[in-house]
Amino acid sequence: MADLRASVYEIYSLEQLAGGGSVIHTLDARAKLAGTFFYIVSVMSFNRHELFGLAPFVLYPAVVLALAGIPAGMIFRRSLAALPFCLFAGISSLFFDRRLLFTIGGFGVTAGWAALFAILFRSLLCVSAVLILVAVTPFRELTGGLRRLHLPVLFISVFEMTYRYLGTLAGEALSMYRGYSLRAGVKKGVEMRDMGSFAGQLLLRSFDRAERVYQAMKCRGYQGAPPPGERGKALKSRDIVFLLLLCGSSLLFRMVNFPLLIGRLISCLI
Amino acid sequence: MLDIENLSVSYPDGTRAVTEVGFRLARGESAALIGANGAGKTSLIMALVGVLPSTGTIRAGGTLLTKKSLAEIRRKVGVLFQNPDDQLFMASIYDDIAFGPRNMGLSEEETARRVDESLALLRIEQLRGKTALKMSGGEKRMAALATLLSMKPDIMLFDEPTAFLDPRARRNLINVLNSLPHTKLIATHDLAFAEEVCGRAVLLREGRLFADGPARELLHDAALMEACGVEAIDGGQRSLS
Repeated sequence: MADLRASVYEIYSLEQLAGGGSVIHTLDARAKLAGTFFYIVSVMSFNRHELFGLAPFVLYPAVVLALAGIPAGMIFRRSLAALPFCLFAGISSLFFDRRLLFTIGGFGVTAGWAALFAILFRSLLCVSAVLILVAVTPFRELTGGLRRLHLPVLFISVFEMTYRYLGTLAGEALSMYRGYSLRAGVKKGVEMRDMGSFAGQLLLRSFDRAERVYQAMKCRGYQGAPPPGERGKALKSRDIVFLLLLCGSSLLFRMVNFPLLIGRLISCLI
Repeated sequence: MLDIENLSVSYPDGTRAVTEVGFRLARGESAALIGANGAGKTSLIMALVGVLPSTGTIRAGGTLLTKKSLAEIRRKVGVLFQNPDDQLFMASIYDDIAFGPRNMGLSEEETARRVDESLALLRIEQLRGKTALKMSGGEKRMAALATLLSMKPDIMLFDEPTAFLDPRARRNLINVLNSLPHTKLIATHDLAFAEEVCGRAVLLREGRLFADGPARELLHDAALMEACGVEAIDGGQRSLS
């Protein structure tokens, strides 16, 4: 249960990187949001067996991390957290899709294996892109960007509140768990028979706490709408250049299979 | 500076938390709001900034509290919550302190200046980039106070500010509050603290105004405090001798 608080701290610590002053950090949140969305759609639109065509998409995280001065290992480690879920999603392909696609050094690679690796690779790219977005954009600017992109206010408010209450929820769960475990003897975790009341209490306490947090926000002028300074900022030329470069390269890599082309070129030369 | 007349607060289930309370605080005055648990201290404070609906009249810095003036009132009146965790909900202390100024529509430069000023005033510059998840109770209390100061309120309301504090952090808070020139209304059970910070005490009993006068007199009056449901300082020995 203590890991829960550590995980929330990890999320918040990633956002603390967002206060940097690099060329990527200072771009308009709308450009970063729209660019990331286009990148993810491009990655996800590949054929389920396509592995090599995805390779050029590694360029985006590599270049942005270098420009923003964010340690690649930090993003990579956090991206790995999504892999077990994707592994479960893709593992069935191993059993149902046994067509031989190609051989490497005498080992046959079936379509199932290719699909599994493609799912893992795509997930890694998409999760990395989202984490990079969070690491280079303060949360306040992200939600401001969503507002200026005219997403529904209700959706943005729920997103904002959920994010802010993550720490609150983790804190409540942790203090309840401490109280439980101190009286639970040598048992580890919450017993199934107590789980219902534990979860119910956690929910009620979280509601209560969330209400107080919301009151504190209102006391400091929060009205659910963007502050006047946030509205109506126009995109600068560098934001447009970033957006065009990211969307253009994503489209190019999606339309042209560069690894295949290079492979053919080398084959011709040999 | 703060003018309250016939203030009543009721909860949606009909429970009366505060009944026809009225008093006035002059500019720069500090008053302790004293009462037993459930006496209506927190409800009164929440009503003063329009978080809880109320009837009666509230004027802060000359502005009458109405739906239209709510934003202005909340700029003029800052509230320190009992649990600092309720006030620290952003990823870093910087963002928590900047939350108010940003909602006031201030530029990012002005916001940064105010954050730095608040941190420097409370001598907690080292907390700037930290997250509340890894801070002590005393640090959280100071950070929560900084979230108020950055909005430059005229009036500050405190709900049990010494809760969760160890003696050293409590002493630090006393020194800080005594150095602030703001008009202050402090709801507390800590009578020794109230005596050190406030010149005046307002006593509540069952949601009604029970007594109002100099803190040094009221807080040592054993009979009065007993009737109010609170134990007098030193058991009222000083006033008896």
